[in-house]
Amino acid sequence: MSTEKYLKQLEKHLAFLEKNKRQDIIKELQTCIEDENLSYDDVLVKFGDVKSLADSYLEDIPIEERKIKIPWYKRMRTYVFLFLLVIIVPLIYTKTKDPFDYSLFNNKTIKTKINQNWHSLKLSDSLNITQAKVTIYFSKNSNIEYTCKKDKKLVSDSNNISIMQKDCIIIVSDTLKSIKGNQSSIVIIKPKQNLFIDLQQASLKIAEKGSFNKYTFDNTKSNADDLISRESNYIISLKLYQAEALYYKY
Amino acid sequence: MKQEYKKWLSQFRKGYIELYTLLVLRDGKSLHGSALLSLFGSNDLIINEGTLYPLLNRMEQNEWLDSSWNIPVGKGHPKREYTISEKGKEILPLLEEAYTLHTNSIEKIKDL
Repeated sequence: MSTEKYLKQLEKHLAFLEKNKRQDIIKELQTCIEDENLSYDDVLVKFGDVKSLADSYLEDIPIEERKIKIPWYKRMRTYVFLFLLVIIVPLIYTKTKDPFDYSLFNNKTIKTKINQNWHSLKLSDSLNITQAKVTIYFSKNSNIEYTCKKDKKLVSDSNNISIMQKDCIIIVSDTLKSIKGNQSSIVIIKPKQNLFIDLQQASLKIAEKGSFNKYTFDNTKSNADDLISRESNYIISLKLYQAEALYYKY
Repeated sequence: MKQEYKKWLSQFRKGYIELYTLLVLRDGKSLHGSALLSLFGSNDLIINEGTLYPLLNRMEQNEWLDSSWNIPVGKGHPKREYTISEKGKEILPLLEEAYTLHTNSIEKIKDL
């Protein structure tokens, strides 16, 4: 630490004093340090540590008074923090909250609800979801249908559909076997098939809607305590790493 | 033990440093902190800056001392100089009396 920083810290500790008194103290010590060309170590020997020196200056001021008289810059910092909290929290809430309750719709009614362009893709075994928000409905249709915000298109190769940095609703066929999610938020509505779901740093919400599932878990640093495994024809195998799986709630 | 002694000495000194400061300044001298430290040091009263400066500040708050900034002609930094105030002059005899009383008390107690 430098002698300048020492004096700066002392000034902060003396914030309870009137400005001109505080400045006189700092100026006096600064003169002493400069006149004698003191190093930081010399200052520590002659004046002691900042806190003790400040306490010596403040010892006539009652502790309660010191606590009450918070310096303006600290008060300002608190006000700015509270202001940002008031602005940012509702903003985050509205940004992250679902626009409607997805679980009230099924693979047919959702298409009426979302009046956007719906696109088709051929059958696929797996979904690879990365840094995306995806809501999945299940159907017996042979094609996969989807719609994404800003009408973004999905990429598909032979047996895999990639969804990266998109916000989509997708109706999958019963050929889907696995979902891989990485840093994503995934909602599945009334799954009706066996599924293997592999999540890393992702969130999965399941709306069972009366159709119970049997769950198997392979958890690492993850939370899936919410899910209750029941006897069912459908098995959902969850492999979770720093992820969470819970029931969907709007 | 050494730490406790230092703590006690620090508390004990505060009172008599105030008295010595008033004594040094009683004839109207105007001195800055470093000069007071040298003066005390040359009279076997070794104290450090971290003890003296807060005490001078407290004495000024109590209105026992007045201070002003002396800007040197030519080179050198402005120095804060202290003089005894009217209130300081009034309190000095009381402090001296208390000091004498306590010194006498110690002698009396030792003779018990």
